[in-house]
Amino acid sequence: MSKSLSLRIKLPLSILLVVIITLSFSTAYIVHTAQSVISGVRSSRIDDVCSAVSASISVQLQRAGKDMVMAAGLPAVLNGLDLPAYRAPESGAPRSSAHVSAAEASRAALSAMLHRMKTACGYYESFFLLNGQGEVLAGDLASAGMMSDVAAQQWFKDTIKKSTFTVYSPLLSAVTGEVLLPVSLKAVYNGKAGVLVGYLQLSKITRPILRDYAQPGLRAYVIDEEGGIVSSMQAKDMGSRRFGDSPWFSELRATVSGSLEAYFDGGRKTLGFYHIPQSKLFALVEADEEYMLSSLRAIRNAALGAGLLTALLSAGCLCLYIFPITRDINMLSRFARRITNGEQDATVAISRHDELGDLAESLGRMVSTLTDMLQRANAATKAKSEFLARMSHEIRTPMNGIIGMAYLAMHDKPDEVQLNYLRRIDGSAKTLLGVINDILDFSKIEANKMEISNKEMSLSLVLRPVYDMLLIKSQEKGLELNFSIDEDVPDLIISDSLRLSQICINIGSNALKFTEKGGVSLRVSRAAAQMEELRSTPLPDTSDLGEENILLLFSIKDTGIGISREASERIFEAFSQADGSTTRKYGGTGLGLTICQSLSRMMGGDIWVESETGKGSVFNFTIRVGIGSGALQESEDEAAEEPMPPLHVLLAEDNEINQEIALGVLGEMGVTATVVSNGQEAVENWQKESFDLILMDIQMPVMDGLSAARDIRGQSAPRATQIPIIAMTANAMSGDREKSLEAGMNAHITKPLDAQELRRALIYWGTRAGAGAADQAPAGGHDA
Amino acid sequence: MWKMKRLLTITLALPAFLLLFCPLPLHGAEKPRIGVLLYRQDDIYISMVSSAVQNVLRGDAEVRVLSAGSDQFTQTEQVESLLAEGVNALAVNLVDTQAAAMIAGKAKKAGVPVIFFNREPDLDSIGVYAGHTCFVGTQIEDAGRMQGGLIKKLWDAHPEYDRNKDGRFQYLMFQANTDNPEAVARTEFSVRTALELGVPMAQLGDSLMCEWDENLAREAMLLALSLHGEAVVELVIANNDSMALGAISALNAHGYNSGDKTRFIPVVGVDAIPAAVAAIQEGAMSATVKQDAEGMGRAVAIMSLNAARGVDMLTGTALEWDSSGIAVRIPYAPYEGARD
Repeated sequence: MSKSLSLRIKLPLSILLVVIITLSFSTAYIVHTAQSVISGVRSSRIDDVCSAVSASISVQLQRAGKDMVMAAGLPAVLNGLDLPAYRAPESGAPRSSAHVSAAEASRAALSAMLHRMKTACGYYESFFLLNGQGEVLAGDLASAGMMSDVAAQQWFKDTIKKSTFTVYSPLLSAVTGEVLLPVSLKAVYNGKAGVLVGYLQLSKITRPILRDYAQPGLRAYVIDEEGGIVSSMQAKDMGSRRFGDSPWFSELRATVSGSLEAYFDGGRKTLGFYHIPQSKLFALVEADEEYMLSSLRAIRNAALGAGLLTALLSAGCLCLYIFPITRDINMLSRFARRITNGEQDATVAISRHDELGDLAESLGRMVSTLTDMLQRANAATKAKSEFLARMSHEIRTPMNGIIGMAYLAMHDKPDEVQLNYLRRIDGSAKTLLGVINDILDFSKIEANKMEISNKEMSLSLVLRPVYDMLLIKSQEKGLELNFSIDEDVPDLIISDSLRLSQICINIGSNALKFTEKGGVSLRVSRAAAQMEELRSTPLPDTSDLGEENILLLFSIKDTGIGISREASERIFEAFSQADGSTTRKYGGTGLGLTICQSLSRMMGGDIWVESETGKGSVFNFTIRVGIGSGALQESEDEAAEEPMPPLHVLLAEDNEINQEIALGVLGEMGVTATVVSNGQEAVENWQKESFDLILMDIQMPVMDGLSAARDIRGQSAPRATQIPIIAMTANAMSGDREKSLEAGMNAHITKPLDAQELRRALIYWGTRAGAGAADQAPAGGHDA
Repeated sequence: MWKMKRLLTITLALPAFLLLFCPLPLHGAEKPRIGVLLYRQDDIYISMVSSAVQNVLRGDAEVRVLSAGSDQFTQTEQVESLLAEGVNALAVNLVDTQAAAMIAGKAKKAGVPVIFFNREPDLDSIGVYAGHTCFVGTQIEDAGRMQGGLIKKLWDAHPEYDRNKDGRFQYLMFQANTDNPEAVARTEFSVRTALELGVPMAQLGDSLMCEWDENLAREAMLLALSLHGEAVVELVIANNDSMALGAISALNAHGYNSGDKTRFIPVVGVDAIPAAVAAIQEGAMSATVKQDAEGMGRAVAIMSLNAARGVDMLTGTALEWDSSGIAVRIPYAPYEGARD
């Protein structure tokens, strides 16, 4: 049997599989969720950084704006609007003129004030005050050149027009190369408008903020409307990197604030973007993938670690829990196997307090209950067997009396009428005996106690008494009887002659019984090969038939009433005849064919019937037989033809009637006998007297026949082993024969005594008295 | 066992139940929801506009009014939260006019129309959301120009106002601050227009920065009177009525503008708030320029409602787009009291 995976493997494997699948899914889910959460957190962190940078810079711009607002309200500035436009002194002109006009003096004072303001604020590079036409009135006069053509510039026009604090696009300082952010505010006094301009040093405002918010993997920039970097922590970024050309920049620019993901500089970046209020500047935060994923990686590793640990733990738990369970299950199955093999005292040692423990306990209880029931059943069977044996004995003893007395009476010169009565008595008694024997055989078959004893024999010799027996009946009914054996059937075969005769007699008697005219024939032939196929039961052990064995077919054909098809199917069932009414007409127990069927099957064959109602039947049975070797021993049957020698026998028999019958029969044969009524007396008499043979009843008071035989065989005298002892018993049950042989007796005949049988035994054993030990097995009495 | 089964059933049924019934549609055939965002709430003129908006929309829309307390970051957050709440239209009075583009961008993202009002953003910058955004305001120079016209009338009609007879009209300027475009424009154009009309304007000292506030203006007026002397102050120009009333209150303390015709210094304001109108009718104040708070409020309300309903914004108004195509201008009007 190809065994699939054992539970020991399957159970942990499947659970482990489930655990691993669940873990994989949950880990994937955790990682996925963590990813979205973290990227959400990171994105919002980027947004936060972005808006914080923007807010901080905006605050700085507002501070710068407040300086301007304050300055624009200062009287000196407002009065400055009345100054004439500043002209740079021509080279060569006297530097220190004694005549410095009042206007120039107040311009110098105002410029000094603006310079002081610039210094105080700390993040302005320069201040200028312009009139409504964009001409410089005061301020950082040394750099006044950078203010030429201001009137044409957009920021100046906007400032004049919109009357608002204006932050304009950053520009590079021609002097220092620094990024400057022009801021401007309109100043108005008495109907005159001017513009106060300040150049903010952008890096001073933004770099502390960018530094504050920078993290590993996260960088902040300030960019202008075109996407150029105007402030960065890394000086090399300035001017060298531009985002304006990137495709994502226009997307960001359109959303004003927000974030997106983009691929550049060889990696995926997350970008945050936020407009800095009041300006044309934007805070840009750039995060590397590493920044987005670093903690995710940690979480994933943790999740994987936890998953692995859980898997290992569950594997450990499985080993811890399932292996003992499978071990115990194996123990239980071993236990069951031992019980099956017949070890009724097998126990199972599982001490657990769970379902398996319960199972083991109930299994143990079940086994002990079954064992108990088996023992009781065995006891009941034994009791039944004993009962049957006893019944057999108890019935056979009086039957012995009846048959014996009838025999004696028939030989005591009765008149014609009495002889007729006596024959009827004898016939009825023998019929009754047959019935009893049928029942006993059936009981044995039912109890599987029937045994087949194969020995070498002559087929023709075995069939002769059968023929003789049936011939009597056929002559009574005026029927023909014909036996034939095919040429190719060997005469010497190995089989059970007793059972073979029994089957033949049974079927033959049946055939005669149901036939009114015509005749009955028996034919023995070698069975065709296909008849092997007819077997409906397994082939029994045929080892004692020798190496070569053949199947013999016995066909008993009659010209009787026949059997219907329906009936022929039931005919071999116990207690059935073809028709209930036939029992009334023809009598019989209805067991005969059942016994025949069982016997033929036990002998390696089968039985079947071919029949047609009114035209007769053919009963066929097969048996498997061995081929005899030719060393057939002389049998009692042959001895029957010999003349009876003068014998003096010791008869041990407790029943007076049986004593009388035996003495009568023996007397008729010309045999003298000394009668004792128990084993004890038999032993004593044997010691005192010399006998040719001992006939020993088995069941006797004081000392039974078996003990007496053992006693005699146990004596030291040479004749103790030489004298033939023949058991006589009404114990027809199987085993009696063995018991008597075992006790040292030579042969075994059953009661009621059959005169012919007794005669054969006496001649056989009487002529061999002293011929040696009794291990030669003679054909004993038969039960039929 | 049955207990476990029941538990299982509940465990399974509960989320299903929640899933089924949670996202019940909360807005059916409901009134549109309009968010109104003010730069601050204690500005009298802005609160008048806000009231007008609410009055017009009452019954037609669900109006949510939020004030930013002069903080653009607060206002931006308010915009975000209103958009998240699912408003159908926004009316925004910017704190910082530079933030317009950002707000327009957020509104565009959410698909919600936005109407800016009062404070004028760079109209180019809100072009990103053309068709769904516009501006409702005034022509900022107009208020100053009308003040200038009023000054010319006062100078011509009342020679006695040149109290020192020097042929110049000495004035005190009450300016809100130096960075509010309206304030700067009013300051600039009132005087420039008067000069252009031939009035010999002469400012006394520096402009007085009073942040649109009445009390600050009163303190500043008291200081200016003592600094320059009562005798030389011939005119008071204020960027708005609140500051004008503050100046009048200080004048009253010095016995001016309280009914005595010989002790009267003309005061000109802007906005025509009720207190100023009353002062003009009592003769304590000369004139003001009417900024039509109700007109602006009505325009904002109707245009917001139209935008929320997805119809043309000017439907049901007599307004017209100006030359920019995305702005409407509510006109100013001079107010000189019952004499008009």
